[in-house]
Amino acid sequence: MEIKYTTQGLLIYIAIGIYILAFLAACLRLKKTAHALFFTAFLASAATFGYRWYYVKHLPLQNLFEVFLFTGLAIYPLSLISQKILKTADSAFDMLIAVIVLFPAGFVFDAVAKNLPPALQSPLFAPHVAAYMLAYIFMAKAAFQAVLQIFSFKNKPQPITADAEHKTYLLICAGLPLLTLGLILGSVWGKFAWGNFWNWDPKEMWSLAIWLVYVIYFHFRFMYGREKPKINSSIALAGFAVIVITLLWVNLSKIFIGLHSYA
Amino acid sequence: MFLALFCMSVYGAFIGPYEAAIFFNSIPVTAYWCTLLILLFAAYARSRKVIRSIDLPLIYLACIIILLGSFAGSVRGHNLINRLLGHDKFRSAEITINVGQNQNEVLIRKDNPPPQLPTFHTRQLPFALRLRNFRIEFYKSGRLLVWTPEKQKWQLAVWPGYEYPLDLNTGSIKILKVYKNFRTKYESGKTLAYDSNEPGSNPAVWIRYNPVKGPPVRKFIFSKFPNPVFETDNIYVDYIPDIKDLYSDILIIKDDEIVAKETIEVNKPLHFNGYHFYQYDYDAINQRFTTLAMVSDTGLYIVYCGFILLCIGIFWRLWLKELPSSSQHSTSEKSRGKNNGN
Repeated sequence: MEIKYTTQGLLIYIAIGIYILAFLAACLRLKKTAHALFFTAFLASAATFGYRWYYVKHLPLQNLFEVFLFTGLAIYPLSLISQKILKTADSAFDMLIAVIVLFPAGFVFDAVAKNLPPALQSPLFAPHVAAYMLAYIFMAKAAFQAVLQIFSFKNKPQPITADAEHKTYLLICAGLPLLTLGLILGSVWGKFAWGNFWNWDPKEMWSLAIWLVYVIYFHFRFMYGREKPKINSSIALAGFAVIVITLLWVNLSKIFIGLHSYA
Repeated sequence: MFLALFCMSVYGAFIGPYEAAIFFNSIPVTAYWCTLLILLFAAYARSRKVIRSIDLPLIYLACIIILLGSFAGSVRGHNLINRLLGHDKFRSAEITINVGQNQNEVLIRKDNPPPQLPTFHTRQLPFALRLRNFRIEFYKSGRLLVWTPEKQKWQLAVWPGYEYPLDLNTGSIKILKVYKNFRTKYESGKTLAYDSNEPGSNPAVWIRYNPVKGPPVRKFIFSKFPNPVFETDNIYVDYIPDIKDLYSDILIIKDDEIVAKETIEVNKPLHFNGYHFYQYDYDAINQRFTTLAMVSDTGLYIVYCGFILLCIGIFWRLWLKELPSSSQHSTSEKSRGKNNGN
């Protein structure tokens, strides 16, 4: 862990600080204050991302540092979509996700600017990464609802626990098409860059595993509906566990070396 | 079946790409693929009967199409198609061409060759490729690798004007100027360095090393001549220019006529005669040859159709149907709950 004594680092720490304040305001049920701080933190994240873009002179989605900056930026718009369209109001958790993703960007990941290698200079690169990160945010929110459902107390009224299971379902409905799009865009890009749309790369295998877990989730829910909510929620949690493995372990570990090692 | 594929995917991730390719093309897994295909057909047929809309059947159909296209594009698929249709197409090969030469011989990798025997066999193409020119385009700035015999290491982005403190015992390095094609000229009695626009590539960076003790030292670091040493503190510096793109200017010659002319870059392959030609390898030092990967396009457009149908099916099913109806359902449940409370 190290503190970044740079303009980039300062912008990240400001964003983290405002997200923390927003989270505390949400916990204290100061809705208007929390929302105002949430929006301000979004602007701070946008400034962080924009500064990085200006500094590296290309869309910054090349490595974990830049991808986590993007995720910190995307949280606010997706939170609004979840509230207004999906009717899954859990902005406090969204603020917490923002803090969790910006923390390693601010204190752990290497921020050394690198030029884009030839393989990454493709118009499919940005949509591929962006689709995946947006999907991961939806799946993280679904995992949170799944935890609420699994650890619900027996004396809680039925609609509340059923509500958590239903919210999990809605969020996974929102995320799976983005996961599919990310997988397909990655395959097409791989074809243009390396000649094969599937190279059996560890990252590709784990990405397929993520997609399969959520396909299994839908098949199970299609068969049993809401009769077995804890199993539904467990599958959703397993999917998120595979996402964490794919995003962190595969990128950072020396066990898995392949075409995605530049990340 | 999906659970089995999940387990195999995780297993494939651990064994590495080469072993995973062998595993997923092995006979037992081929049997799995055939079983999966049959079950997908059954699911497609059943979903068409049970569900009125076509989104779910479309998803199953897309998966079937992707699997069929993938099989057609595999080595086994090529062998089967060659036998059935009398074709003579190979799945993939490599071709190395020197600048100014014609080449029509490709190297095809053998599957599971016996030990100590060649792993490639050759094939003559019905046309030849001529490499008119090969060049590497570098970014203006690259990376400096700095290290000491005590195994301290630094990787510095080469941005002119930036100064990087190393540590208390090792001083700092300032980037003074970056050259894409370093040349010298003699002018007014002095030897001057300049960045040349002439053909060629000689990436270099001019740095100032500020040691802990002693005066600053200025040196040119050349990417083609590694490991210059700053004697005062015994540090080594390498300049690694970052490659922006690779260009292979190719002519395709058939029956002594030029039938195609293209510049192949990464992400911009050439498509000719049922094959795609990709930039694969190159002469990093003198830029006198290029190696292209040739990959058959059999099954490719079938897979692309499957991808499009899968996207349409999943977005249609989940975003256009499930989300609106499920969100409405949860809103009406909440208002029912409020009314019951009242």
